[in-house]
Amino acid sequence: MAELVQRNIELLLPIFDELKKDTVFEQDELRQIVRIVQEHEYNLQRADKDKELFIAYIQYMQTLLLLIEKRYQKNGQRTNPDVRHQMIVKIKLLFRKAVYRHQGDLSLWFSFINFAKRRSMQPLIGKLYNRMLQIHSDKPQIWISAAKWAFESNTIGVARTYFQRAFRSNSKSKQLFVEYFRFELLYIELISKRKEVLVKVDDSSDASQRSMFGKVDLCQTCQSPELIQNFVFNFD
Amino acid sequence: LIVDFLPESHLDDDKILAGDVPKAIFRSALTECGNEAEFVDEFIQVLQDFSEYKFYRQIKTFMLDYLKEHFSDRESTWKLLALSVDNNSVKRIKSSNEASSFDKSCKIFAEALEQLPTELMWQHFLMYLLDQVAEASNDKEIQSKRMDLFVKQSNECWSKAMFSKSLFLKQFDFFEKFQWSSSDVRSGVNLGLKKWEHDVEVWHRYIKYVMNIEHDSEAKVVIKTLFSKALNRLLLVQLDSTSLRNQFDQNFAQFVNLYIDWITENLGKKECTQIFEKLCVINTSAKDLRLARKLAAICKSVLLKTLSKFGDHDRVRRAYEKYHMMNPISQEFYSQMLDLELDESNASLDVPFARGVFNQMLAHFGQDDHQVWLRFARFEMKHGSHVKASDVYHMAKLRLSPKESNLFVQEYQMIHV
Repeated sequence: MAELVQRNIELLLPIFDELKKDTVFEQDELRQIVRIVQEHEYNLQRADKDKELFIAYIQYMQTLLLLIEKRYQKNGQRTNPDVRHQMIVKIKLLFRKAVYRHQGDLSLWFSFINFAKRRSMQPLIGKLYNRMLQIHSDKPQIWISAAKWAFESNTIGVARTYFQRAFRSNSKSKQLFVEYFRFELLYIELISKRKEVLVKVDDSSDASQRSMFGKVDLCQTCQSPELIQNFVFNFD
Repeated sequence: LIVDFLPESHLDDDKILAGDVPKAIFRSALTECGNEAEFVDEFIQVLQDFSEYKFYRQIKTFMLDYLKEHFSDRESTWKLLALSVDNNSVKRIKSSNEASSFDKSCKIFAEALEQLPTELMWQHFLMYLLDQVAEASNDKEIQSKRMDLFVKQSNECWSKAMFSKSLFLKQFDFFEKFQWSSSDVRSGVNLGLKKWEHDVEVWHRYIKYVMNIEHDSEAKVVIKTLFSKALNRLLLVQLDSTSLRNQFDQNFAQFVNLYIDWITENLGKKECTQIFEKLCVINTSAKDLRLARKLAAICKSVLLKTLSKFGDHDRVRRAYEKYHMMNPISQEFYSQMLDLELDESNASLDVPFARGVFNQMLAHFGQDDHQVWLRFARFEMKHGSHVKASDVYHMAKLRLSPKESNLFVQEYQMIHV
């Protein structure tokens, strides 16, 4: 057990080296951090480890990452990308282990997704939703949440696919129908607004301009944050 | 996402913009999840958020048609149908469109009342009319026309015995808002008072309305008569069910408080005293004597308080002497007398009289409440002597129940500390 703990801590050594080199933490502080990390690692090696132990370690690592970022900021430096990357990798690993062991725990899944959202890891969010939906396909609220994320990320097609896939396993869900209905209305609202923009462009521009804007990137017209914020689902 | 410009006419015909997809979802939902009116309502609620767009009307019309086809036996369906006509012309008061939409709505309500002549349907219609009267506040002519229509329809509703109590109570909010005098709506109100003459809520609401509307010299006489009439009617109520009785008692207490507040605020000393003295005597014609006793008990305490308010402390004592042995005997009456007698602002404290009040109160309520004994002991320590306080202590120990006696001993020790 100790060798596994030791190996996991050694994997974090590059982070501590960088932090020491960048004088983000004092020697004593680093020693204390290593001690706490070691303690958490030992906890995760226990046979009877429960969800709380994972959560405690994840929370500690997330707080540590925030502290590192603040310290860099205080020193007038940009956060070392290697440190940030490795910390995020470690947190992701911990989350993965936690959700693997507690797949039925929705709050854990959503914590992982929220972490990915905060760190703008779009591909990971998609993967997480897909993985989660493989396990919890019978829960309409998760489909709705996934569709909401897809809509907010401006991938209408993906959102619609989520809804349509959701009906395969939840064909009698009233909530799903109502939210799908809302989604389609929002989509019409979106394209109505696009149309307004296009008509305005058409009215205001002369023939030469029209030739320039003969083709319009409609993605630009649907970036309105208010429009996206209007997309309010009952489940959050 | 790159698209070519399309001709505008083509965009107008677009099935997506016309809301065909949401319509399809709506249809599928009802097929899959069952045809329930409440489920349809959920969709309509969602749609309300998009009222400013063109597609809103198309989808709503589709949904309303569906509702009409499948749920025409539901009052709320008709209400929704009628209101959706009116919503199309919101914020266009005075315009011909507004007038026509109002007429259309009324026609829908009329059709609804033909198919579904229920109390609730009438309530929806009459409340709609009152709302419309309120909305037409900018134009007195339209407002008065709508008011006339309301009175006419209201009379019809009464003639068909479809006027519900909740509507009767709600309409007073509007009457107050428009400052409608009772003469305008007298016939309807009289019918209501006759129908629910034993209902406290109805009397309470009606008298409150009259109090807010009538401000002329006659108003006091009218309100006084109304209160007295209401009390006479309410004392004739006899309820068998305990829950109904509890509800009634609660409402009755509120009504009595309103009456007492009004008397003390609006009438002079003489009139005030006369009314309270009359109410102190149990009304033997009451069917539920329990209620009459309650009223008399409250009024006995209020009488003392009122006389004291007018600064006539001798009269307070005389009233006490007159009523303290008269049924119903209540602890509040004695406590009120003691409060007034021992009040620091009372310069003419009569110690033997106060002691007498204590003794009389303890004669009736000396077994159940140790707080009365404690108060008496404190009084004796302050105005009498420690020997007398000690007598009170011994008497209390003899008279109080074992549990109360223990509590008394504990708290008595705290007095000395």
